[in-house]
Amino acid sequence: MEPSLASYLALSGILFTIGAVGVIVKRNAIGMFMCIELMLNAVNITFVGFSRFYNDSTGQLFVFMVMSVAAAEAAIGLGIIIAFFRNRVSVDVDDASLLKN
Amino acid sequence: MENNFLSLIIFAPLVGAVVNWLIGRRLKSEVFSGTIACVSVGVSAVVAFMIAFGIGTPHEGALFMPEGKPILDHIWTWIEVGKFRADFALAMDRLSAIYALFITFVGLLIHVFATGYMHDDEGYYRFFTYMNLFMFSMLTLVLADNFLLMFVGWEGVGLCSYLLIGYYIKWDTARRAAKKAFVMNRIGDWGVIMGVLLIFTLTGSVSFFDKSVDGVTINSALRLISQMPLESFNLAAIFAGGITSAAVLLFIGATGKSAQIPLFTWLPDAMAGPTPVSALIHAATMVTAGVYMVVRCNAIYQNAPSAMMLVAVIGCATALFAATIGLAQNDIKKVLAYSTVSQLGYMFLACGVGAFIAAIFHVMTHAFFKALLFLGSGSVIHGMHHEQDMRRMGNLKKYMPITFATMVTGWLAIAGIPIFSGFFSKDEILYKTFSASNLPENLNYVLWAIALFTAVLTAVYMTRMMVMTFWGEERFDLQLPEKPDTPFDDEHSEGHHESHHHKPHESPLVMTIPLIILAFLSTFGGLVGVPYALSSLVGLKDVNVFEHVLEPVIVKSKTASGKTAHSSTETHEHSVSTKPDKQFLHSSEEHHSEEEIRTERLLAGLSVILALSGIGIGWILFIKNPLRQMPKILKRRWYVDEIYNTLIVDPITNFSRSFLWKGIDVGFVDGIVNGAGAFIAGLAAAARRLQFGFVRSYAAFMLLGALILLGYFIYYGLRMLQ
Repeated sequence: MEPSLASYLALSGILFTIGAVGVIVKRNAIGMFMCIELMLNAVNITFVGFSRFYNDSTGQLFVFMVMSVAAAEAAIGLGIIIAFFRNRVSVDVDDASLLKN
Repeated sequence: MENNFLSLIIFAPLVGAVVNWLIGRRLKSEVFSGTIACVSVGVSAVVAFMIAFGIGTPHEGALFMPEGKPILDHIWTWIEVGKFRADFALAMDRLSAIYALFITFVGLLIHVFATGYMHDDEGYYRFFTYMNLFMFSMLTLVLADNFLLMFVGWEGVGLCSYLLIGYYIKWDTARRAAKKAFVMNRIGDWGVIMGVLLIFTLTGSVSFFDKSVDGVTINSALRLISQMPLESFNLAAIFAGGITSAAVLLFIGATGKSAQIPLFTWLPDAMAGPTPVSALIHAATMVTAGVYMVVRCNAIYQNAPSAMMLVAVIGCATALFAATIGLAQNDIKKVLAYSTVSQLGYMFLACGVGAFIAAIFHVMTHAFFKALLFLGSGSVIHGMHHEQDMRRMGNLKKYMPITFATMVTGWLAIAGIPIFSGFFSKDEILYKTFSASNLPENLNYVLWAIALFTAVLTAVYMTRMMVMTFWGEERFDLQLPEKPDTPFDDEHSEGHHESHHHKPHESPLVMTIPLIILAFLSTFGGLVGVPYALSSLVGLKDVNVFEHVLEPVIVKSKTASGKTAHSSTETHEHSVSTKPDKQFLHSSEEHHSEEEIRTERLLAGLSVILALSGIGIGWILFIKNPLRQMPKILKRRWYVDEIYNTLIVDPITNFSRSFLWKGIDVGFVDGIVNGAGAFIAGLAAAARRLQFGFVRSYAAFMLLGALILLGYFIYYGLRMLQ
């Protein structure tokens, strides 16, 4: 039997919450980065679930879009983190305070 | 009739100005600048003469065109919006021809004179640029074929006047005088532009002449107005928004430009400019622009009897008022300045009594003799090493014989001695005032008596000036109680003013030759307009060429047949009879009744006797005691400047300073601007507290926001489902 739409949305909601809470509580840049990916994928699940439910391929096309954005983000984000690490020997986001004051 | 060379008259000086401005300023060569300036004015003088007299042109001269039709030159269509149409087009009819002739000719002489007078001045090229620009504006003013283009010239001469009064820019008096002239002229310009707008609403046209351009027929605003009925003679008509209002508004403009009461105080101050400027702009040409406009619009004034009376009364009052002040001035140029104001008063008096031709005649003779007197005073000032105070002159006839001889002709001309030009024109005005029929009971006799008394005063103050300057003992080393105020103080810092090392000297030929030519014109220039009553004395029939030339320009007066012309039927008849051809016929059939001739001869004799007695009074009063103390109130010019300052200038200054500046500008406008800035700065300061600097808190805010949005949608989604 095929899972219902509600179970897709529940999974998506759980993943998104984990991701959101993770971004807020984590200080490690890589951890935050992974949590952002988690949220993006939670949204992807929602897209796919609704796409299936309405029998409309638009949602699945959007998922490709999100995935390519996520890939680009990963490339740039990791690049920034590495550059940051070279400068401050840390991946703690609270250390990125050069512009403060 | 078209003649495209007409535009050459105005554009030649413009080219001269541009060349001097662009090239002359780099070359710094007096010969180059002077030659360019004189040649360009010379070109327009030659072209003006050719077109006016019809020499070498395919048509008759503008002075002799039948029925006073103009010679036109359509340069381009300037404004065409709906019914409104103003062309950049020139027209030379008989009136503009006379103006163009004396402007270019006297202007040329003054330019030549100035090449000598301005010698060794560092702003030589600048001076001649402005002078040429002035010639361009002035010729545009008189040759314009519509009100709007005339206004362009009107503003242009005002600008050049401002630039040239303030020519000695390092001298505070000159800067103040320039500003004063500009502001006072602005007040008048308001009147002109309002008058032109009113004329357009009344007639739907701003053109002076009937003409057709590219198949479009253009009606003359002046003809349309002359066909309207005569307005009633009362005060309310001035504010009724009809022809009388237009006439009064235009006259306000004329009082500004031509220095009449109440806007006359700028002209004496304008003497801070170089003397050739005073001669050209503030005596011969620009200040007579007001008279030109009134005569050009004589069709309007003829229909507005209240405005005519206003013009006559203001003119007469100004003539007397300025003459009394001129009696007590010690600066040679100030005497001439007040004399100019006074003579302009005569011209407006003539306009006001309907003697428009006499006004123009006086404009022309005045241009000759006043330019002569100013240039003569310039020659004196030059010879005295920039001394203008007559108290430090005396016996100059010994040192400057040519200047002396030419000044004497100017003196006799302005005083009104027969044969000299001023006699004929001034006498014509006096006689026309005496016999005027458009004024209320006996007012014409009052005005005539005042004008006659002013003629005596004129003779007295001119004699005083001549005596103080050319006769008596030499007073070059006289110590004056007050410090002299001239732009040349620093140049003569080696104690020059205290003891003159140099004796006065006669001026060079470039200065004396214009004087001699002008002296000739001042002496014989009046013979073109000798009235019949006088020419018949020596057996000549009708030699008043001037009057016959100008007759077609003047619309036949509706009030001429007497004061009963106010009844409506009669007005109607007269307005029909103002067709140009009939009018022309009528004027050439003019008859001279025995009685009129006798009166005119009597009055002429009277004014000669009075002029001679005026000279006699002046001679007796001042030959022994040239430094005679004059009444203080006259010396202080009836305190007019002080009154204006207290009543108008100071309140406006105070109002501007305490309310407009400190209140509106600093308080309100700056308050809004600074307040807006301060508000944003405060807001930003508050918003900055939200920026903790922790990425995670931003993420939390975003989440919070997202949750609020989500909550909003869920809430309303559920409400809709219910």
